[in-house]
Amino acid sequence: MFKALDPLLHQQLRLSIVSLLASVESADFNFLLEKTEATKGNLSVQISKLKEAGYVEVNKTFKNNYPLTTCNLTKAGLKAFEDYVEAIQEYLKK
Amino acid sequence: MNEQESLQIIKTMISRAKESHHRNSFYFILWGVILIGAALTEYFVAHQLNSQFGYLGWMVGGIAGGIISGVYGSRESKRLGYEAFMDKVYGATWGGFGITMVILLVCAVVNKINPIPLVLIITGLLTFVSGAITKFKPLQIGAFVFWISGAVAFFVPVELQSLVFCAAIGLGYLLPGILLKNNETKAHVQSA
Repeated sequence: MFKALDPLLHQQLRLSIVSLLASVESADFNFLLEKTEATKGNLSVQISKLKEAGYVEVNKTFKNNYPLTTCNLTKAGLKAFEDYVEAIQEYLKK
Repeated sequence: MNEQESLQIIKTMISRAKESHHRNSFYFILWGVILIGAALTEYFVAHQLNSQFGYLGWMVGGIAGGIISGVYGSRESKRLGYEAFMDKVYGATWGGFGITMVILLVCAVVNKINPIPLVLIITGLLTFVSGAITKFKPLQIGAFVFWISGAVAFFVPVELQSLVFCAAIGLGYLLPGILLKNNETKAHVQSA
């Protein structure tokens, strides 16, 4: 019996965001935009969905008078990502 | 999206996250040049010209180095757009080193004790840890240069300690910094 894949993570852009955040302590919006090659609107929408699920924490601050949005993975987000990777590995073994 | 594609996305993103490189060599080269300059200033001004202003090089160099490092660090963090786990460890290690040095230098000056041997030995520890964090062997070898120079400095006359310090900084700090810069340039070219 295979584990079900988390539907929230089983989407290209959301999986990209979570994979990037799993590799760093925190990242700003422009870093995620550059690495995922997504549009600003789509990235914002997907980050919001991850935030609503409690997978990602979003902090809005100011740096040199410019707004700065930084994101980091929560404990729940990291656990969900680990479970997702584990489930994928099981599927690939079959 | 199938499982293979999912795995490919994860691999690609993790690899992209590693593409933006930190340029830590800047700090080693900057402080290497500043500290050698300050030690040579002390050697010539205090021990050759017998002036009481030998300490000025340390003061001016320390303040200038601190300001330049702060501005550079802030620009780097903006350029990269992320903070890695190891950056926190690295920052805390060197931040703690800075506080240690200020306490050591102030107490040494007040008590008229020459701090050079102790500074060299403590710098050896920090260089060793930095080499381990960045997985860069020349820095770890540089740490041994500091430890040996620190031990030697205890047994040489005060006027020669500045020259031992210069040699230690040159071999243990500046040279690994230049090698690290070459590595960073190569890594940057490969990821471009």
